Amino acid sequence: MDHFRLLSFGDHGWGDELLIGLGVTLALAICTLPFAIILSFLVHWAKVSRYRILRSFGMLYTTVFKSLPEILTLLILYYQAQAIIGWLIQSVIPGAHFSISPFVAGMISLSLVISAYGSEVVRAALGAVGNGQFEAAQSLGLSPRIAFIKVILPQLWRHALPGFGNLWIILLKDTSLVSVIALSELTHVAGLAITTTRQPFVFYGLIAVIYVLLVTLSATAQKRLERRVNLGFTRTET
Amino acid sequence: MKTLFKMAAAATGLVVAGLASASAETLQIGTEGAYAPFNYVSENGEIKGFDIDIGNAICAEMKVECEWSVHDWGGIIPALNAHKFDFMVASMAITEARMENVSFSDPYYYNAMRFLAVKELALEEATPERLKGLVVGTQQGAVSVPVLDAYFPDSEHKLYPKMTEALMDLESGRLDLALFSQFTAGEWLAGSSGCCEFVGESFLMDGTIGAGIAFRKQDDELRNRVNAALKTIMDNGTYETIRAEYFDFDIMTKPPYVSELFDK
Amino acid sequence: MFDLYLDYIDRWSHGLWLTASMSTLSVLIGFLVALPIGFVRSRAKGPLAWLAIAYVNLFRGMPLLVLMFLVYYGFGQFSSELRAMGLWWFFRDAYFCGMLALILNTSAYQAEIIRGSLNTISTSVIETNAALNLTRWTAFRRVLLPIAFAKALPPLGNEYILMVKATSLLAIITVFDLMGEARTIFSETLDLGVYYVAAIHYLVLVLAIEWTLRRVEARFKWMA
Repeated sequence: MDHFRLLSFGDHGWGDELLIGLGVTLALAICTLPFAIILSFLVHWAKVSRYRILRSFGMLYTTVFKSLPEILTLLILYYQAQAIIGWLIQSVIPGAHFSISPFVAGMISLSLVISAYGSEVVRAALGAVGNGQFEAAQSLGLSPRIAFIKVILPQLWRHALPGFGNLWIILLKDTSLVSVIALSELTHVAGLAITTTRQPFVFYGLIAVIYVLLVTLSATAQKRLERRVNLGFTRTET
Repeated sequence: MKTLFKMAAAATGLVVAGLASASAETLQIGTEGAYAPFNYVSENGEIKGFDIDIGNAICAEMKVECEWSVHDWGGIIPALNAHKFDFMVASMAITEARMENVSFSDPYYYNAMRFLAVKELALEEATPERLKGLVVGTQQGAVSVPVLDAYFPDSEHKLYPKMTEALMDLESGRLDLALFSQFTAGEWLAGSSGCCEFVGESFLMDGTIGAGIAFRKQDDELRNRVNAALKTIMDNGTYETIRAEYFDFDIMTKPPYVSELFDK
Repeated sequence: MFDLYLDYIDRWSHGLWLTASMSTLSVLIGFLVALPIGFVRSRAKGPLAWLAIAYVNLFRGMPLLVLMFLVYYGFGQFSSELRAMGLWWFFRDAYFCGMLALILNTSAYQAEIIRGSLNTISTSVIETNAALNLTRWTAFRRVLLPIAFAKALPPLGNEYILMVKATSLLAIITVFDLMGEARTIFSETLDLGVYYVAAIHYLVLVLAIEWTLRRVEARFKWMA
């Protein structure tokens, strides 16, 4: 079959383009993850804040981003944030135009969606560590900030790992949605290839396999990490 | 590699456009990239086609650098207005509805639409009566949508995000007909398994003036420059050379309007 | 924004109906498919268990968007073969294809939920069944299954909401759910307000489902 030619590298095949698409997919997921995790903490803190307005904001945030389809969040952000930022920039430097690239739009909207779920991972993990640890640290005279960084965070990691691991897998798959705003990641490249080659089965089948492999690889890595961080702790799960 | 570099540039953050100095002006051109032979992405990841050659010829005439990017058709006008690029060469038909959101150059060709039908149906004509109850596919946001709504209300309409997706469904038999640009449909037909054929005449949507280059409404100065460059390349033979590479027939003749063929 | 809703009220209602019905139907059928797979995952060993693992990993591992493209356009490429097999009536229809993709996706997730809840049923319940002299089938049907269901309800509820969101991808294969209608109206008006109207629809729909689910969960809580 000439399927091999379709997927070859160089000028006559789509192999190299797909590889670059895979690179963009991975880059997007990897760049988004740290922002998503930081946002998860911020949203959680907003939800347990002393201030009522912050608490309401945190609730609204999770409700909205857990209810809207990712694709809708993405479209609204891509066009609307553009208009708002553009307007702000215009009022500072007249005549200047900022443009959010699809990559950045993807990063922002995926961070928003993932952190809505992530704030719950943080809540559960903090609950598992227990408030006693924090109180003990404070009674030793540590400031809240130091207590969090030196005492809570090292213990939190173990409890948050399964949750964040799952979110990483969701994130990896959700990057495919950014193809609707024409970011040349894996799914978008496959779509372009099909436009000229008319072989949807080959290309969609291939990228499906690539995603499954990526997810399986991530899950294996996650299990290993979990085993490692849980060394020395009693296992309660079956 | 070039794409990878661009991606890295995009990843570093917000891209500032419009701040570029006048001496080395770079313009961003947007297109769809799924509309062969006018604009498409080739095996080596390059954006190619008639639109791209025309756009580049205009840029060369204006002595500016041009960079191309592809965008989803459904959001291409908002993308232009959101400064994702400076102007659009994407075979967009000039219509009054679109002129509420963007402004257009003079037409650079006439893109008539024509029905493609599955051969098995053996349709001899494509009239509203004959198409009653049949499934017709076209692209979301294309000028063919209002035409189907107004003149073929008794057919079932299916709207696709991309033209090629509708054509794949025509080939597999999910659609009975598809309504597209006769040029793009002809290009696709030449490379298909022989499932389908043209039926009926080609026609323009009422009120369309041809395919134009689109600009933000406030960018009149840019529009005038591009119009002047377009006129130059049409007069000096550059346009003809490019046209001959893609089509061995004239694409500046104006086909009849749909209202001249059918009744509402 | 209000006129964007009122001017297109028919389309919005149609989209809302499609989103609600397609997600509900796919979750229910998905549950029936997931039940045996989850049971096999929780109890069986050997080739059957391997098959169940493969199913779950395959359909959880690929993005739903890709699965939908694959089922609709990928299989569409083999229309003549499917015709010969007498399956084309199914694959011809965008609704069926979309439904199939949704079911494959949700059943893989639901199977894991069911496995999880079956695994947490304590051995004492199983021993009690034996003590009461229930046959294995009766014990499964009358005791284990209801308990497992009660335990699985909250995560199944979450899955339902995820499916409501997932149906938004049907728009790419020409099924006009809320998102599809929003995209069409947007392509006609180019008004971003359209997406906000769609967002409000999703918000109301999800909140209504959450409210209902909480009431149902409360009724089953004693068993879980």
